[in-house]
Order: sequence, then C-alpha cells, then structure tokens
Amino acid sequence: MSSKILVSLEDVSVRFQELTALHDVNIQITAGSSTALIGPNGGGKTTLLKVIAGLIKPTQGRVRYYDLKRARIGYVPQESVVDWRFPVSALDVVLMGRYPALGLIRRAGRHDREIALTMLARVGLRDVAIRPVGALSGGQKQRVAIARALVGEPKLILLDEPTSGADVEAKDRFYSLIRELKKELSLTILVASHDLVVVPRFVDDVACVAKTVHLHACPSEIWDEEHFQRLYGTQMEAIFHGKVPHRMVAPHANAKPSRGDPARTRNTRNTRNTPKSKKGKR
Amino acid sequence: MFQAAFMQRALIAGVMVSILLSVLGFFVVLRRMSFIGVGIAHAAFGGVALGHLLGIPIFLSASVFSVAAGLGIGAVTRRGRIKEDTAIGIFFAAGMALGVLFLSLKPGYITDLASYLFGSILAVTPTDLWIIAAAAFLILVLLALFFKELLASSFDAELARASGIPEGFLFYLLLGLVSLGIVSAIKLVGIILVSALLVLPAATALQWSRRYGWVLALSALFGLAYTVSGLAISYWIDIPSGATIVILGTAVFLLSLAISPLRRRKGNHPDRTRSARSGTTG
Repeated sequence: MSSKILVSLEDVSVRFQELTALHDVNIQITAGSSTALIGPNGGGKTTLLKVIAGLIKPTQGRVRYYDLKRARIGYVPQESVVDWRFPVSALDVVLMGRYPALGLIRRAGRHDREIALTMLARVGLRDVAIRPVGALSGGQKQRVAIARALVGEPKLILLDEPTSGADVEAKDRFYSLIRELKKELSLTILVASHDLVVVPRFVDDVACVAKTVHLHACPSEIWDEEHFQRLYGTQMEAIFHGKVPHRMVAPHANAKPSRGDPARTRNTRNTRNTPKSKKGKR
Repeated sequence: MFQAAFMQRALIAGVMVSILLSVLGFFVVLRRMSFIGVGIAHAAFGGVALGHLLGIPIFLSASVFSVAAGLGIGAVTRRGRIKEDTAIGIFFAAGMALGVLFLSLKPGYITDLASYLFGSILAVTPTDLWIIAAAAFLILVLLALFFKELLASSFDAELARASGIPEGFLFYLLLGLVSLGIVSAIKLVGIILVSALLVLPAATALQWSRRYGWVLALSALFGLAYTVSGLAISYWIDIPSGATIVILGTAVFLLSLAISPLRRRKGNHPDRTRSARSGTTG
C-alpha cells in the first residue's frame, strides 16, 4: 500500500451564517486507508464529507486533491432526499454512476451496463436490478448507492452514516462487504458513523469530528453531554481498543505513523504540530 | 374535417407542441416544477402585450419575457433568498401587470387578446408553424444531448453535482427550454392553460409506468392524443380548443389515477416485506 496523499484539507473552516460547522480542520487522506469519522450529532461529520466531495466550499482554508479528479470520489449520502417514485430501476441508478466517465452527450452502452450489473451482483442486488428503485428496502437502496459510487471507478469512497437504523448483524455484514470491496478495488474509505461498536472494528483508524478533527480518538467528554461544553478543548482523549473506548492522558503519543504495522496504515496525519497550530489558543 | 387550411395548421402545430411539452413535462413533473410553468406562462403575457405595442414579433417579445421569468425564478430560488412559491407569485404578477400596462398604452382594442389568453385554432399562421418547428427542434435536440445528465440531476441533484455533472447549468438550461416551449404553445392553447399541457401528459404517464423510457413515450402519446382529439372536438362542436384539450387531459388523468396498476401495488408489494426483512446486506 502506498502512503500517497489523495486529499488534504488545510485550515478548513465552514460556517453557515452564524453556525460554525467546521473549524480549522487539517487532515490528509492517504491512499489505501480506511477511517471512521465519529463524533456527536451536529459535530460536522456530514459537512466534512461534503467538503471533501466538493459539494460545500470551505468558508476558509482549502482542499487540495492530488492526482484525483472529483469524479473519482464516490460520495454516498446518508439518506438521499429524493422522490422514490422517480421512474428509474436500480440498474438505471447504478448506471448514473457511469455518466461522469462517459462525459456529456455519449450514452451508456453495453459495456457500462455490464459493469453496472456486475457491481449490483457484487453488492447482492442482481435479482432486483430491473425493479423500480423506489420498491427496494432501505438497506437495498443504500447498497444501490454504493454500487452507483463504485461503477465510477473511484479511488476514494465517502460513506455518510451508511447503516443508521440497521441492527448489529446487518451492520456487520455491511462493513464486511465494504472491507472486501476496499481490498478488491483498492479503495480508500472514509465513513461517518455514530456507531462505536461495529464500525471501529472494520477500519484502520478513527477520527473524531466535533467542529474540528481529533485524530485517532475522541476527547472523552464528547461522549458525555453534560460535560461537553465545560471540558471541550482539554487534552483528554479516549482511544479506541476494539469496542470500548478507554481513556488516555497523553494525546499524541501514537500520532506518528507506525510503518511496521501494515494493518494500521495512517490515513490521517496529525498536522497540529505545524506552526499554524491553534492548540494554544483554545 | 381537417381540410380547412387553418385546421391543418392547428393540427400540425398541435402535434409539434404536444410532443414538445410532454417531453419537457417529464422533467417538469419529476422535478416538481409544475407551478414554475404556470408562472412562466403568465409572465409571457407581458411580452405578448409589448409585442403588440411595439409591433415586433410576438414570439420574440414573449420569449424574452418568459425566459427572463424562468431564469429569474430559478436564480432567486436557487440562491436560497426567496422561497420558490414566493418568487413565482411575484414574477407571475409582474409579467401580467406589465402586460396590462402595455395594453393600456396602445390605443384601441386588441381583438386577438382573448386568443392569447385562451388559445385559438384560428390564430396559427404559416409563419407560426415554422417558428414552432424551429423551437421544437432546438429544444428536443438539446434535451436529447443532455438527457442522461438531466435524468441524473433530476433524480438526485446533490449526487449529480458530487459526481461532476454540471447540475446548475442543466437546471437553468431546462428552465430556458421550458420557457421557450411554453411560448411556442401559447397561440394554440393560451397563456392560462398552457401549463396543463406541460403537466398532464407526464402526470398521467407516471400512473402507468415506473420506467423512464416508457414514461417518456407514454407522456408524448398522451399529449398527442389529448391535443389531436381536443382539436377535433373543438372543431366539431365549436368550443375553445385549449379548454377542450385540458378538460380531456384532466379526465384521462383522473381515470388513470383511479385504475392505475401502480397505485394498488404501492401499499402491499409482495417483494417489499421480504426485502425489508432481509436487512442491509445480502
């Protein structure tokens, strides 16, 4: 696996009128990594994914893409706010993922259909390919969205709360599938999730998004609503070991990439020790 | 009965206009832009009156008004400053008000004013046929060229944008084309009723199929049937053509709604319960 950087965010802030969604985010996403973005509701996970997908322009700072066209980023939104009575089949929706590769004017041909059908089969939906997409279950729609993202032959996949509402078993199967696909298609994965039990087991790294991004862990107080306001900004961090978060005082002891461990390729590098660090100000 | 020259012209114009508006209506209905069509048509009244006042071709002045109204409604809505229905209400009234003003400046009574408001089969001139043909050609070619992008961005604008489809450009393009299409149909069906020809065929077709190819084809077929039979009926029993077409279309729509095969399936789809239980992955 290379550690080539695909996307880097430099001092990215996003404000919606008075509301600050993201503040001074500095992260780099390296090829081949898989990271879970965890954090409280309204912490900016979705905003961060949309910034990377190019859907939201940062109010400040910038996003750089290295050797990566925007079309090669597969974005899978949390829940599409679409009219499900729209007259398209699951296959039609997946084919839409091929459109950017086709360019304007050219139609999707047999080759594109084959790719789309193969990908539908891969996510277990070959049987419902020609069914109207609105007739599928929520989980199936989610997998249609994944297949749609994958037929564009992306390098980076952004998943926003892909399993909200699913039970643990279904989540397990979903993330197993994602992990297999990652290996097969050499993808880089960024997944936003509330889930602290299942998701961290399937990714190499965890980052916490709460206005800004805390690498590898969440400040413990983020999980405690009462103390959130008071303690926010202190140095306490919770590090994930498998399922259960446990506390640790020294926050950046493990911040350097450990080259010896191929399973934990760093996707995100800590850039806090740059001269622009805001740590002291908070 | 179609031997009279004016009737032949009305028929040719009706065939072109109905197919054109049905295809545009496919996108209008799916994007829930029906009321925009109403606003655009009424704003065109200002252009019709201005054409009369200055003695310039009506098609030209009406096009300028309707395209300006269409793009204007689109722009203020898209920037999020004003709600869509508010914007439509304002452009609608402003166009009509300008129309009334321009008419008051012109001495004497304008005889064919009523035909612009309500449509007239007598009003279509040979020149009109060429104008309608040119407009239809331009609109249909552009729709065909950008069809897959329009489809994808109508289904899910955000995903389309994320995958690099120029969704904003397509939105304005569609508004422009809808405005032109409306103007080309005004003489035949009238300002007040033209939006029905935009909405009814696609709304009816959606009661019969969930495949976009079929919906498009059925839509054109319904539009054609309403228009041709409406013209025939209006000729036979001497009633206004626009009103006849719209009443016919509404009747077929209500009938379709009542006996739609899709409506019954919706609540109790045999595959639905099964697939819902199978969870997120499979």
